[in-house]
Amino acid sequence: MSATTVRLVHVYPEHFDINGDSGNALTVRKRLEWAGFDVELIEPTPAGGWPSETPDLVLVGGGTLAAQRAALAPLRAEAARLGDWIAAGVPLLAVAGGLQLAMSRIRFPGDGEAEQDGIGLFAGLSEPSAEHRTGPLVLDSAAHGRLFGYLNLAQTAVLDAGQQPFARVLHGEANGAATTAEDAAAAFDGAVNGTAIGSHSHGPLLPRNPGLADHLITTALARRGIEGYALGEKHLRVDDYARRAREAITARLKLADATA
Amino acid sequence: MGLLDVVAIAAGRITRRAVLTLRPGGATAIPGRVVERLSPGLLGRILSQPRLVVVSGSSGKGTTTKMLVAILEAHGLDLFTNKYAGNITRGMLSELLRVVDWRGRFPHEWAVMEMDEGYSALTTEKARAEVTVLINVMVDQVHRWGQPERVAAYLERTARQTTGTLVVNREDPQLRRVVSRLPERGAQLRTFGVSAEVQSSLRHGLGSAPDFAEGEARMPDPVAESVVVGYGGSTATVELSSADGAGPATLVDVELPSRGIHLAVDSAAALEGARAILGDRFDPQVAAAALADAPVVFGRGERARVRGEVAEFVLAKSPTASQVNVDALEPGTAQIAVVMGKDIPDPSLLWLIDWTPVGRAAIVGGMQAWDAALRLGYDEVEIDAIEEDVEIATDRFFALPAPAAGGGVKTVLYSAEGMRRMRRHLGLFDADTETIRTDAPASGSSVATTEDGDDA
Repeated sequence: MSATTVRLVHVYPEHFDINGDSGNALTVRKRLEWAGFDVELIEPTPAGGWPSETPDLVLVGGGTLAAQRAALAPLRAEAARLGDWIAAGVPLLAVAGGLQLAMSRIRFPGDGEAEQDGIGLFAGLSEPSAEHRTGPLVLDSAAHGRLFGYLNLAQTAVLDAGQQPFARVLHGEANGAATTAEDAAAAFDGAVNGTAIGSHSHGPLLPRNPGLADHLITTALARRGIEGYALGEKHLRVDDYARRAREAITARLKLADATA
Repeated sequence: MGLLDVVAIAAGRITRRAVLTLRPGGATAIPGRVVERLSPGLLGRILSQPRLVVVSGSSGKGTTTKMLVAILEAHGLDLFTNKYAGNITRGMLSELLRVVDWRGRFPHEWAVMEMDEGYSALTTEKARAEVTVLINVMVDQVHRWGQPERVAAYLERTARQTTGTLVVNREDPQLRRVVSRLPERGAQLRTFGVSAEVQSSLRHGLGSAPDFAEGEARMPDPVAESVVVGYGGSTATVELSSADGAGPATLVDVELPSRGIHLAVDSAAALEGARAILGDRFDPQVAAAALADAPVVFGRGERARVRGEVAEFVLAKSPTASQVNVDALEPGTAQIAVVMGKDIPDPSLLWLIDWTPVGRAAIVGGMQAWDAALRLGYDEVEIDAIEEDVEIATDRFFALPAPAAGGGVKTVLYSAEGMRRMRRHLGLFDADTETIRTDAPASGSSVATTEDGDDA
């Protein structure tokens, strides 16, 4: 019996890996392979390479400002394709610089007031943040529990009214201030549009938060009616390391113990 | 030099004596901080006196400077260099305090200075360099720099302050961009690089940050270049173009202080830098012999005797340098410790490295041990033990029996903070370290000349 092949699109890997963001693609690939699936890794570049058929899962990392500028126009040309996939229920994760490009409008640092159209997966404006922000970002999501990431970005997304954020911020800063104008006590990160998720947390968000990784994977498989994704020894080994890494950060930041 | 400088130098010397009394043997930047506070322009005034050589870039500037200095000293040049890894203003001042006289007069003809990327721009805008060697722009310290383009901008300012010769890594996309932006009638250009053939044999390339700016970055033709045309782990062959561009090239066989293509690139940078400085006086035989005898940079890829056995210590500095070191592990290397300390503020960077060649880690240690284990786990590296406490991890690792393979040598890959804590715990200090060259041939470096000038 041949294994089921899952098609993973990893967008512009050379442009979007400034903080090890490719770790998200590695995590999805390994977890699927460990569960007995084959993975076809599709890596489009600005020169092309997009699949003609709808893939199962899409990942976008974060890049430098120069990489974002170089990627914006060719990615905007793929906006309809990406929008169709999301409408078809394909899970997508865009982090850090990838989230900035995925907003409907973007104002790059150094460009003054000049605003450009973004890819438009999420409604809102990406703008320069007051300062370059780095440090741990701890999130709380009703759907995914407590999530641990890092921030290293001079940009921030300000959501339009009605655009749903991804998660509440427990530690760190994420979305621009306009999001929290209604509720100064709560800060939010990222955005959600159907099966598309955007977060300011760069890098490998998924290995540290295997629940989110498995959510993307099971969403992808469910769309195709595929069952049988089960965690084995290899998953449990790395998930135990992830749990200990999360506990270590929780202790360092003196956060109240996570219940998730 | 004014009265303020005299007062500042005296105060710095008194501070230095006081610090050394309290903490014997320690290299310290405290006197430099005192001097900098009292007389902010002093560093520029000191470095304006000698003929200044600046070596800067993301990764390898310390090694390149040491190689360059070894070659220059072997040629009898009268020079000063910053030896104790003080490459920002106060560190450089602390070291210069030991050689200038009471009025701040500098006694040597040349100063060969390793400089931090950011401080190289600030310093050379006060004291222009005659020769500048720019090594690379890497995805490194992104928490400090944010963008590689910011590092490139600092190096561009440094390049613009160069009066004589600019020696640049021709394989580095960001540096090519920098050179393409320089005025045509600026410093003379010399380059160093790696042949396409050697590059294609590398598992992960050279590791420079990509350049996404629009348009091709065109560099003018260099007057001369040094190119790595052969690489064998801990040896390299560097081809030096002829001085007049027409005669035969010279091949120099170089013993590297440790394994890694980055060291081969550093040696090419040092050779081309030495040619720029020495001109006709440059002797490839003397240069090769000097490189063979150059001391291993402290703590970065060395072998030392620890508790009765030999261990190899490799500093995982930037992601790129770490990748090179991981790729340079001999297949079948057993008993590897990976120690990632609190100097790694964000373990995301560990994901930029392919750890597959490690195969199996005897212990993963340091404050970031669990995130490091997570990273290694996704590369299916087996892990025998995980311990956040560096001291305990060190004791457990060195209590293990020596490996059967690899000549019984244990291997430690550590971050800078992991390095400091492990070395302190082992009582391993610079002076006590018995450094043992890695598997370089006993014959030493040698020189050959080819007739056609383009073949190894």
